[in-house]
Amino acid sequence: MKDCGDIRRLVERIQNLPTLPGNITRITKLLDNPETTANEVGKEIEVDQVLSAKVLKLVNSGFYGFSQPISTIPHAMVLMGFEVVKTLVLSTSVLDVMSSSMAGLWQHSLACARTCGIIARHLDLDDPEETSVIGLLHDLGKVVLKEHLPEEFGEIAVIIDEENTLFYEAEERVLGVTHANVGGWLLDKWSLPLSLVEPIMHHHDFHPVRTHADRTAVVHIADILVRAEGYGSGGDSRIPVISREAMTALDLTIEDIREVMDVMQDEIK
Amino acid sequence: MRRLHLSEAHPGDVIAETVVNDRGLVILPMGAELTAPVIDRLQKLSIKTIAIEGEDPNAPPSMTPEGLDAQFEGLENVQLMMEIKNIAREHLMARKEGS
Repeated sequence: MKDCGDIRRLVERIQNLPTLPGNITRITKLLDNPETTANEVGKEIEVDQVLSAKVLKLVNSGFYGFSQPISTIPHAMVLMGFEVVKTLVLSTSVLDVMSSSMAGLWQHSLACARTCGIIARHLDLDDPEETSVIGLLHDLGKVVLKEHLPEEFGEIAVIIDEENTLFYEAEERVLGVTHANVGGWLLDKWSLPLSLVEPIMHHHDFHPVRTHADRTAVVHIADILVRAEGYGSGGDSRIPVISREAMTALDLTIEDIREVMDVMQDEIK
Repeated sequence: MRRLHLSEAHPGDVIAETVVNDRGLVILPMGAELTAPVIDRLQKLSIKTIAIEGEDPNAPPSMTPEGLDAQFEGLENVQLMMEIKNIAREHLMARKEGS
């Protein structure tokens, strides 16, 4: 493990993440205004054709499970809500890297998004769309580490390979922080709401007293169920233990888990 | 599903993700089958990558009963995890029978 000074420098490097191009900053401002209509934001996004195509590609990637393709940004806004489209706009560049060069993690993330939605609907929680997007982004930090700290990412891979540890255990040893922290910092830097940041930041260390404990519990459990079912790869070969407190927070029983896993089996290809 | 460069696509490949042009308009819906003329047309429209159905040769191998055992090794005393493993095993067997 590196000393404190090293870790701090690493963290500072991680926090110097790519800033957002002007058009995304403009769109974010528009999205933050409660009086903005879906049409206005849709038009602003559609001005940038590359961004628009990327967002539609994400929307149609199957992470949410719409049966019909969504062909316009305003249509996506109506179906998925402002917050989801905004989050997708902000994270396009990172998700682009994941889908093109980290195939296993992309499959894992898509399946986790679907599973978060399945659990949210099973429990009748608010905003299953937002919960799905949390699942899609929960491992965003791994892409950031691979892209911005390739040497350390390599060291983490060696530890996992040689000692068969969990991904986040190896990260803690090499960096003193995990992809969950890194992903949370990035989304926080992009000024996304705590309701999205907190569940990503804490998906490996659930605690019931946090503000968004329900969503954190959903993504924590979904991540583990997706690994159990073997959809894609989170980058290691072991499985973390589901937090008992997370099960209690959602009032979930093993029968609920079975129902959720049966729906996963039917819906996720 | 696997994502590949358009030059690697073949007639008969099935589109796994809607293809949109740079204005965001849908060119090919999910489930469409590629033909040589369609591939030509996508090239003319400057589409660079597409997603097609089927296994990615670079993706991790799909889950096996042995992989499942290895994944849950050491968790034999955690009842919840063992129950999850049993459900996952049933699903794995059902998928194998169905394929």
